[in-house]
Amino acid sequence: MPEKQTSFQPLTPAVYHILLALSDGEKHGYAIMKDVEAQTGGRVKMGPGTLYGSVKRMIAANLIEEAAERPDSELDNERRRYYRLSGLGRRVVAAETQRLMQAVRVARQKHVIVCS
Amino acid sequence: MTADKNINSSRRIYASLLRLYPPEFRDEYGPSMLQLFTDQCRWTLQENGPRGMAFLWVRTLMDLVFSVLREHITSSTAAGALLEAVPNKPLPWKGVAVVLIPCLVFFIGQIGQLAGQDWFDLLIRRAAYYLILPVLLVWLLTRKFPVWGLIPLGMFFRNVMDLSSSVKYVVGKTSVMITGVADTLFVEQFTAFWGSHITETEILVVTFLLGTAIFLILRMARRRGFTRPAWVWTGLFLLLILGEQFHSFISLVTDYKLNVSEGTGYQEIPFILRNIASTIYSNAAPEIGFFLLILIGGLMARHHGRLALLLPLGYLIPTVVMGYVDDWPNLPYSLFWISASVLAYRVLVTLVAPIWIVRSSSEHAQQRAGTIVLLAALGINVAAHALYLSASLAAYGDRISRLDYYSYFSPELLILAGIALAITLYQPVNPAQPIPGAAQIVVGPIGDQH
Repeated sequence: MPEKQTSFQPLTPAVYHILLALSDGEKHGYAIMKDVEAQTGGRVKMGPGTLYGSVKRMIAANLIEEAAERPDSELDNERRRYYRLSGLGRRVVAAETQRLMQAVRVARQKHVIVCS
Repeated sequence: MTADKNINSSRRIYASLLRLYPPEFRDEYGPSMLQLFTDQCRWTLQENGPRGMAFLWVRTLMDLVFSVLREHITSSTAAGALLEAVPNKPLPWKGVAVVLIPCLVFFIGQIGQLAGQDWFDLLIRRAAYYLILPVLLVWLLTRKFPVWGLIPLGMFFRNVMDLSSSVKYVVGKTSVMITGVADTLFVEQFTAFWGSHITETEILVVTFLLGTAIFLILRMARRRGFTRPAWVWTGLFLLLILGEQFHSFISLVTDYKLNVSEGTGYQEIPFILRNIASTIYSNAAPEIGFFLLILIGGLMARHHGRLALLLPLGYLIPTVVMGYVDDWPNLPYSLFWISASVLAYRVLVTLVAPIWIVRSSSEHAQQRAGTIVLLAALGINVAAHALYLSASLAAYGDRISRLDYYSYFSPELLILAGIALAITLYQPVNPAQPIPGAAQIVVGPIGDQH
């Protein structure tokens, strides 16, 4: 259903980075936040309000879903809520990435950025 | 030990700040947010020490302000289902209060006007310009047009139509001044240019409005949102506009013939043509503008269903359907009847209609409420016009032609056709597919501001 994926475009940076953070597996809130920071070289730092506000809306839009609650042994063993990509979320992040790649290709052709 | 104490203090403060979020959001995500904030504190203290903690608090507070605002705006229950009403449920009273704000502002202004107060102008004519600002802000933040923004948008649209008439008037005045200067310099071509320029401006505005309306109709027709009854009402609406133009044209030609036979006034054909163009603008622009607004409501109905009726209602609130007040024969009871009918009209459109529509518990009931109240409001206008007509006939019956009878009631007929078109266009929102769409997941640029 290509219309369905493209209807989400363009994604906001927060939504795109969260989807990207979850693309390699289930994560809890703090892990998502650290992943987004790592993806962006520390330029995007989400606070708890922004992160969970986005999570709420993304669950409502069926882009992500909640996985089973469990502790994270690397942190403090407190129980945490984990989130994972839905099938739609995976297709949407792929479509958005394609769109961004297309934009990068155009930017290269127009010498906005120089290929190394 | 000190680190733990710092973390615990920050945790306690943040836990109390979480109370600022809407209850349902706090219940669902509060513990996770507190856990995440604790993790951040732990990591920041370990990596960057107390200075890092200070920066973390600055970032967190900024995040808190924006996200609290957003969650309250978008929350389905905390703000009284304000952004989008729940299909087939009445809007909660908190929501009704917000919907009523522009209506009350206008109603108070109306009372002020009837009481002869000077400040009424601020509320009646200028309210729409500042009432639209919070609507635009919320639309920008949430990418959703709030249900309580429909009435201010209708009022704003009406004011812009009035403003465009003023612009035309100013352009006309400026042109007359320039024409006068040009005349003194004996530059005929310059005069001719400005003369035609006024006409072109007027026709261009009407063409733009009509073009946009046609574009919207074609867009809806392509998406099968324009049904057969919608075509019928559109046809009727446009026929009524043509009828008004025909009436204006006949009146102008009659005046022209009178001027020629009496040898008075302007007799030049260009002047007559310019006058016709000006009349088209004055009459057709607001009517086509109203038509365009109803079509825009068709777009709004995708999210708001029948509640999109609040949009044309907003347009009607500042609209004085009853005209010709200046020509009202000076009868002893006339002021009383004007005041009484205007007040009754305002009570219906500013108080009864919005409350009844938004408190109706089904889309069908919303449609019924809107139809009944607007018909009653129009009925008041028809009665007032009939009263005026009987007074006019008594005063100067020999100067009233049959065509004038049509012009007295054509505004109500136009509004009636417009409301009928709105009802056919504003289809109920299907509760089985309530959203979620792209608009719901858009979270705005807050995430990358940190």
